[in-house]
Amino acid sequence: MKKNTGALYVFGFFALLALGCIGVLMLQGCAGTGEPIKDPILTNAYRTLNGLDTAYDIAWGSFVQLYKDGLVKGETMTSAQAMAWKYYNAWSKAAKTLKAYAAGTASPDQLQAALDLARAGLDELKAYLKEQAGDNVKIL
Amino acid sequence: MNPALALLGVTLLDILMTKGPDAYFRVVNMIQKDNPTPADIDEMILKAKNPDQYLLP
Repeated sequence: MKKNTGALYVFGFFALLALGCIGVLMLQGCAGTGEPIKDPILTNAYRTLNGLDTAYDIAWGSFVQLYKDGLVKGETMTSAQAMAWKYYNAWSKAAKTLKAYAAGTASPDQLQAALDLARAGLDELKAYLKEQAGDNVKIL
Repeated sequence: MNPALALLGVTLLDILMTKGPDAYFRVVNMIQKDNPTPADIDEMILKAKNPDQYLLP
């Protein structure tokens, strides 16, 4: 039984490693396989917004779980929620600006400014969550 | 790697280990997406959860 558990851990480790390697290969390969990027600003902004959303999802999701587990006080949660909404609103505005940019009604500068605000909001949120929950909160 | 993700310090292995395969493949697909359409942007907006949604049971 003990031997099987060990083998399972080794298998799990290599499975994770393989998936990570596949992901890296896909990333490296995508530059040459996809259609040519027509507008790098549009593509990069879209990827940035998705990256921000993923980082927020992991950090905020783990903090809320700590709150649900009773490890975060109500007043701390209230402050964190205000910051999370600030970030979320900035992110939503940036996403709408991206849509406007795609439609030709927003400039690259407007888009960049909106992205910068969203990124700053997430940095602020992550710093607060880390300050309140330390290593218990998952920050990428 | 996409500079946006590198800037955030996000690695695919981190995502795989913390969020599982679904999030992992979502991010991989997102990174591969070139020339997003308005529909792609709408889908991204719809998928993003607001802070209160995480509190739902």
